[in-house]
Amino acid sequence: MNDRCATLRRGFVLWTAIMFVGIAGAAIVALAGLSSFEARRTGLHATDAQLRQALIAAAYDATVHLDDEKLVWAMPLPPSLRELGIAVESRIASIDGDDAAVHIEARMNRRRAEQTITLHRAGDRWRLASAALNEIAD
Amino acid sequence: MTHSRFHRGFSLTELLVIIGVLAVAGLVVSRLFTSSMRVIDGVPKSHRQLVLFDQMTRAMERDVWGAAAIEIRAGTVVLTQPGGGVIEWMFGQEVTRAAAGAAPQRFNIPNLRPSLDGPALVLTSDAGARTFQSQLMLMEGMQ
Repeated sequence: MNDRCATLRRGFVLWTAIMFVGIAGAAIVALAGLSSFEARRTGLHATDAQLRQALIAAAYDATVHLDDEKLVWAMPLPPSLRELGIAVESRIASIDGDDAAVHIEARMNRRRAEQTITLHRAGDRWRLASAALNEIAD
Repeated sequence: MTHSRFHRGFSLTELLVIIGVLAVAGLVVSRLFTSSMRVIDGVPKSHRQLVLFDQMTRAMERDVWGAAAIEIRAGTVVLTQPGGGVIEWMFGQEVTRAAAGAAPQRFNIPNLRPSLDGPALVLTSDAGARTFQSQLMLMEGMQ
C-alpha cells in the first residue's frame, strides 16, 4: 500500500513538472515566433524605405530624361547603392504631346516597388502631375 | 540506535526549512505559470495588432504618396488628390479612412496623433513615429 502511494505521488509530481515545462516551452516558442516576425518586419521596413527613396529619385530623373528619346532607361546609381542590390528602371508607358506617363520599378534584391507617374510639360520642363504607388511586394 | 535513526520524527527546524523551500518554490512556479499564460495569450494579440497596423500604413502610404495637399483639421487628415478628390483619415479611438466611392475602412488602432512635417505626414504613437511622404509635394519643392 505504501509503495503504491509513493508511486502515485511520484507520478503526480512528474506530470505536474512536465505540464509546467510544457507551458513555459509554449511561451518561449510563442515569444520566439513573435521576435522572428518582428525582425523580418523591421528588415522589410528598412528595404521598403530604400525603395521609396529610389522611386522619388527616379521620378525626378524622369522629369530630366523624358526628352532623351529612350523608351526604357536605368537610373544611374552610386556604387554604395548598387552594392546593396538596388536597381531602378523607368519605362515610358505613354506620351501624347505635353502629357506623358512613366512606369518606374525599383528593385532591392527580391523586393520590388512600382509607381506610375504622369507628367505634364510646362515650358521647357516636365512637371509631375500625379503619382500612384503600387503595392510593394516580393 | 538504528531504530532511532530511521524512525525518529522531523525537528521543528527541519520542518520550517522544508516549508520555507516549498513556499519559495510555489511562489516561483506560480509566477512562472502566470507569466507564461500571459505571454501565450498576448503574443497572438500583438501579432494581429502588428498586421493590422501594417495594413493601415500601406493604405495611408499610397494615399499620402499621391496627395497634392495635406491638411489636418481637428484630428482629421484631409488628403487632396491631383484630380480634386479628397480622402479623409479620422483618428480617435480607431482610425477610419473615408474616400468618395469607396466603403469606409476602419482600423482598431487607438491613440495615433497626426502632424505635418513639410511634404510629409507624421503619425505618432506611444511606441514611436512613422513618416509618410507625398511624392507630389516633395517634387513640387524640388522643381
